[in-house]
Amino acid sequence: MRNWLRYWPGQRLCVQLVLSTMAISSLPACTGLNRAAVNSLQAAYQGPNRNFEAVPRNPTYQYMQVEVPGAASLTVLGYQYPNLQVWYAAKGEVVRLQGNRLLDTTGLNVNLANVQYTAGEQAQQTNIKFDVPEMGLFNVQSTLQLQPTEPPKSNLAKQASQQANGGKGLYWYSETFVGELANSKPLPAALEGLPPAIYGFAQDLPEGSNASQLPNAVYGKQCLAPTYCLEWHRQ
Amino acid sequence: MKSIRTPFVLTVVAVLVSIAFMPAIAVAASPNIEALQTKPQGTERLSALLVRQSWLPGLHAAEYRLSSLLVLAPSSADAIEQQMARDRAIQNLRLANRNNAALQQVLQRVGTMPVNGRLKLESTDANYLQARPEFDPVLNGTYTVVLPKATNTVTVLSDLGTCMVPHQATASVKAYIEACIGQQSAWKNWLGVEMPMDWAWVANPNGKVEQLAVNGWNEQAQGGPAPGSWLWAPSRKVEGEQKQHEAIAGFLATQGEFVQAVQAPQARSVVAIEQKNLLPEFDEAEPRPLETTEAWYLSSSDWGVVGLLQTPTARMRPAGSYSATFSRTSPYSRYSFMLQPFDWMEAGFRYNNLTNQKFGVSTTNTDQGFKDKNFDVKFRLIQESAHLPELSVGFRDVAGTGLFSGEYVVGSKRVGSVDFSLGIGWGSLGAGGGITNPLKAFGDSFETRPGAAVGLGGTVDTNTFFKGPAALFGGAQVQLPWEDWVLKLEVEGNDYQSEPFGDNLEQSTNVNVGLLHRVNDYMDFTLGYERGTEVMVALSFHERLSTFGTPKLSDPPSAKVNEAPPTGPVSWPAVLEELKQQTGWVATKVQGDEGELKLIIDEADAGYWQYTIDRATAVLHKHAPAEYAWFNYEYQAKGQKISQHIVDRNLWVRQRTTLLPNAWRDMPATKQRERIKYPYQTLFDNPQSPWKTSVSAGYRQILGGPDGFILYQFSALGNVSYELTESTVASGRVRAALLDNFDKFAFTASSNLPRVRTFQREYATTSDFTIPNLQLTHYGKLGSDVFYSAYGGLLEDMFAGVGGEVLYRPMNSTVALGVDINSVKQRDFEQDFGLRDYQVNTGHATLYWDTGFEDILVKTSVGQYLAGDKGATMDLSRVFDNGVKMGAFFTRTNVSAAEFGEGSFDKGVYVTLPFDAFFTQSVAGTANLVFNPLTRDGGAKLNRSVELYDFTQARDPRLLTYTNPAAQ
Repeated sequence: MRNWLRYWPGQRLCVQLVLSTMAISSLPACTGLNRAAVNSLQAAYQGPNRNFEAVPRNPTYQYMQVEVPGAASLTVLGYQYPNLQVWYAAKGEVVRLQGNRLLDTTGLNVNLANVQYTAGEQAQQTNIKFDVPEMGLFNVQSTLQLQPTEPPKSNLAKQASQQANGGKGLYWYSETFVGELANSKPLPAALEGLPPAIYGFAQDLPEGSNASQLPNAVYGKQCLAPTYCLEWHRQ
Repeated sequence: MKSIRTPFVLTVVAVLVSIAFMPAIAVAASPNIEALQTKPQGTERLSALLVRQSWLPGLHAAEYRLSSLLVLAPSSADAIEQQMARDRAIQNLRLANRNNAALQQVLQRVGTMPVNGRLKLESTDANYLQARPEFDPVLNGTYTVVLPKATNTVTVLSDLGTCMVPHQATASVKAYIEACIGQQSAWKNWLGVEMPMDWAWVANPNGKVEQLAVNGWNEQAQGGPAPGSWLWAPSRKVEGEQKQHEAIAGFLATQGEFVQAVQAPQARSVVAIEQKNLLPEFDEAEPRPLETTEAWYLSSSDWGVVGLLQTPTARMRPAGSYSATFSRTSPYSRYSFMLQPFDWMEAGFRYNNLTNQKFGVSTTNTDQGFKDKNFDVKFRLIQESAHLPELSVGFRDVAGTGLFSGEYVVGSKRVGSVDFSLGIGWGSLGAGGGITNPLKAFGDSFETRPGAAVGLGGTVDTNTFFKGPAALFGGAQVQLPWEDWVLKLEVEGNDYQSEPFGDNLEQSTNVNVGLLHRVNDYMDFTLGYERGTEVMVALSFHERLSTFGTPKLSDPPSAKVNEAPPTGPVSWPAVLEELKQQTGWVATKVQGDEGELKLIIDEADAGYWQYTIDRATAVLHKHAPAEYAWFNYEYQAKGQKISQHIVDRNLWVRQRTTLLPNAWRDMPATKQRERIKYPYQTLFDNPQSPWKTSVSAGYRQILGGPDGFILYQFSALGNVSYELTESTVASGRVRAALLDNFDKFAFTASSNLPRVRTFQREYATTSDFTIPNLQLTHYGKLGSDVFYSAYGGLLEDMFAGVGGEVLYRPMNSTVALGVDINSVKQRDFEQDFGLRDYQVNTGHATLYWDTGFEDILVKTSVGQYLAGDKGATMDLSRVFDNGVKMGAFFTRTNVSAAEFGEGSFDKGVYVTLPFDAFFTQSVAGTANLVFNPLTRDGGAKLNRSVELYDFTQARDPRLLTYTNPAAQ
C-alpha cells in the first residue's frame, strides 16, 4: 500500500482517516454527482422519513400516521361516514377504515379491494371476503377471531403505545384467520403465514366483546400479503 | 407517501348511504341481470359523478363491483379505433385459419359484440381520483357510466370450446381453460404438453389485459383471473401473430363483465357459451411474487454463462441482464462477468486464476497465480416451443489465449419443474471424447483439433472451431418444492486430461451435482461436488440492468400543476432560482414572443430529459402568464445553440390535470425541433460568472495484471475553467493521488511499437501530483448543423499538442459524421509541462449511426492512431430505455499481431450506466465500465477531453425516450 503521505510516516494513519473522510464527505459535496451520491446514501440509510413530529398540524384536521414497507406517510382524514373513514396520503393514496379494519386501499404497491366484513357465528368472529388484485387473488373468504395478544414490536406500535393514555400504554388484540367459511376452498397458498391483524385500544375490552361493535382503536396493523403489512396510528 | 398534502374538506353526511342508488337507472337485459347506468350532469369529472351516485368503496351495494365500472363513449374516436383494431385482427385471423370452423365462429361472435369506446381508467375510486386529477376524466353528455352487477364467472373463448365457468378464489387460468375444453392425459401432463395451447390472454373486467403462459413447458407463477374476466385462449393450431391475439383480448376488455353478462343469453345465435364447472381437481393459482421475476429461474454455471455447473444450457437471461459469478473448483478460480445485450445473445469475459501455475512475470508479486483472460459468447438459434427445445450455440474462451477454448451446441427443454439440457461439445467441453465428431462428415479436417495459438492470444481462432474430439454433455436443473432451492445435476464432456500447461487433473466421475440457494432476488449461492473429487462453491450476482431505476426521493417535490395559469406578475429571478432547484438547469436568458416563452439554458444536461423538462415546465406553468402557449427550452453551450425542446403547454397541462381519451393520452407534448422565429423580446438576463471550479473524487484501476489482480488508486481532482469569450474556454484539471497500491505496480510490458500507452506504469507512478489536462478550446458553428472546435495544450495524461474537430449532426438525425485532426507530442511521465521526443499526427473520420434495429448504435472510425498505425475502430452497442448501454469494440490496424503483442489487437466490452439509475437525486452523466483486457500501443486513440458528439448530446433524438423504470 502506498500513500502520498508516506513522507510523514508518524502521522500516516491519522491523516489517512482524515483523507478518507474528506473523500467521502467534503469532496463529494462539491459536485452535483457526488452530492447526489451522498444524498442517495443518506436516503438509503435513513429509509422513508418517519419524523412527522415536526410537521405543523392544523387543529381542525385529524391525522393518522401510516406505514407500509418502504414508505411512511402522515395521512389526513378526508371524509367520514358512519363507521367509515377515508384517509389521504401525500400522493393521493387512499386508505379506508371501516371501524378499525381496512376496507380498501388505492395507490399502494399492493392494495386491498372489494372487502366485505359480516358478523361471524360467534361474537368474537368476523367473516371477511376480499381481493388483492396485485397478487391475482379474488373472492378470498375466511373468518377472523378476535383475541387478546402481546404488543407488537414495530416502532409505530411503540410510538402509539407511548403516546396513548398518558404513557400508560394500549390494550392489544389480534384478529387471526381461523378457517374458511362453509362451502369455500382453503385460503390461497400465497396467504399462508399471513400475520394476524393487531389493534391497540385505549381501554381494555370487556370479555366476550362483539367483534362487530368495537370502539375505535388507536393503532392497527393489517397484512395484505405475508410480507406486506399496513400499520396505522390515529393521532 | 413522504410528505403531507393539503387536506380535503372533512365529513360527508351519512344519509348518502340511504340515497346511494336513487339517481341510477337499472338496466335489465334479462330479468336476472342488472346494471346501474347513469350519465354526467353537463360536464363533470368522473369523481364527481361517482360521489354523486355514492359509487364509493363501502357505500355501494355489495352486488356491484366498483372495479368493473365502465365509462363508455360509443361515438368517440376511441370507439372507432377499437373497432378498427378488432376488425383488423378478426380479418387476419380468419384469413389465416380458413379451415378452423370453430375459430371462425368464435371470431364471428367477437365481431358482433358492441363497440362501446370504453375509456381506460387508472382507478374507479372517486376519492383517489379527486387527489389525482390526471387520472380523473372530464365527462360530458356523450359518455355513459355503467356499474355492472358482479357476475362471478369467468368466460373462456377458444376454438376448442366456449364456456362460462363459475369463479373460484384459488383457481388458475389453466383450470378455467381445462374446465372448458377438458383435461388431457396424465402422461402428457408430465411431459408438459398437457394442453393444446401455450398462451392465453386475460381480459380483466377493469379493462386491463394480461398475457399468460399456460402450458407445462412455459408456465409461470400467476394469480387467478378476476371474476368477470374473459379468457382468450386460442389453440396451438391457430395461426396468427401475437398482436392479433392481443387486439382480440384488448377488445374483450372493453366489454367488461357488464356486456359479458348481458350477452350470455344471446350466445346461441353465433356460438353457444356453455355453462361449465371447474373440474374436481383444478390447478390452484400460484400468485405471482410482488415483483415480476423471470418466467423460469435462470442461473449461472461455474463459467458465468447461463447453465448448470461445468456445462452451459441453451437458456438466455432477458435482454439487459448482467451476471457476475465467482466460482472455485480447485485448482481454478473463475471471475466471470456476462452481459445479455439481446434476448438471443449472451456474451462476456472472464478471468481464470490458475492457482497451480505462477504468473512468473512480476517482481513484486511472485506468488500470484496465472491469470487467463477469456471472452465467451452464446447465441440462441431456436426459441423453445411446445414441441421444440431451445437451441443455442456457444463459444468459450473465443478470443483469449485459447487455454480453455471450446464450442458447443446445446438444447434445453422444460418439463414442468425440470429443465433438461443435452449438448455436444468440442475443445475443453468435449475433451473427454466418447463420440465421433459428427462434423467429420464434412471433411477429415474436423477429426483433429489444431493447437490453439496460446502465444499471443486475443484472436478468434476459427481454425479450431468444432474440430477434434467431441463429447455429449447434459443434465437437468430441478426446481425443488422450496422456492429458493434448485438442484443441478449434469454429465460433463471434459475428462481433464487436456488441461492448460499439461497440468492434468484427477476425475473419478464425470457426473457433477450442485445445490443452488437463491439468497435473494439478485444473489445465488451454489455448493457442488465435481469430478468426484472436488467441492465447488460459487457466488453469483445478477440483475436486469435495463429495468434498473431509483425513485427520486431526494429531489424536491415537483411544482403542483393547476389547470388554470397564474394571473399575477412574474418575478423572473425567483422563477429561475426555482428552476435551478428543480432541475439543476441555469437559464441565462428569458425571452418572449407572441404565444411563446423561451429559456436559454446554459450547458443543459440531464439523465432523464423528459423528467427534467416536465419539472421545468411545471415551474414555468406555475409562474408564466396565460399568453404563453408554448415553452421553448433552447440549449446552448460555449456560445453555440445546440438544440431545442418545445412544449405544448395546453396539452401538457391537460395530460396532468385530466384523464384524456385513450387516443390522446400518449400524444407527446414535448418535441425536439428547431423553431425559427422572429427576434424575441428579452424579458430577463441572467449572466453567469466566467469561472467554474469544482473538486471531485477520482478512481482508477488496473485489473488482471501480473503485479496483482487489482491495482487501484483513489485521487482528488481539482477542475477549473475560465471563459475568455463566450466561445473560447481555458480549462484544466489537477490530480493528487490519495490512496493506492501502485507500489506493487512494477511490470512494464514490452512493445514493438512506439510506446504510446505501454508506459502506463511510468505515468501512473512517477508523480503523485499531476496535471491531466490544461487546454484552450474554441467552439463554433458552420451553419446550423455543423459544429467545430479547435484546441491546444496538455490534451490528456500522456499527450500534448493541438487539434481540431468538425462534426455534422443534423437535428433529430440518427446519423452524424465527424472528423478530428491532431498533432501531438508525448508528455513527460511527471505529467507537468515537460515533453518527450515522440511526436505524431493522429486523427479519425467517425460515423455515428443509431440504426433503429434492436436499439443498436454504431460508431465506426477510420484514421491514424497514436503509434502511427492506420486502421479502423468499430464500436457496437445496445441501448435500453433506461439509458443503460452494453457494447463491444475492436480496432484493427496495419500492425500485425506479432507487432501488436499479447492480445493481437485492441478490443473490449463495456457497460455504460446512467448515474440517474442509481441515485435518489436526479443527476446527469454516466459511468462507463470498460473491460479492455490489455493496454497495448497499437490501435490507441488520443483521449480528447471534448468530443463534439458528446458536446451536442442534446441533439440526440433518443433523449426524450429515456425513462426511469422506478418513476412513480
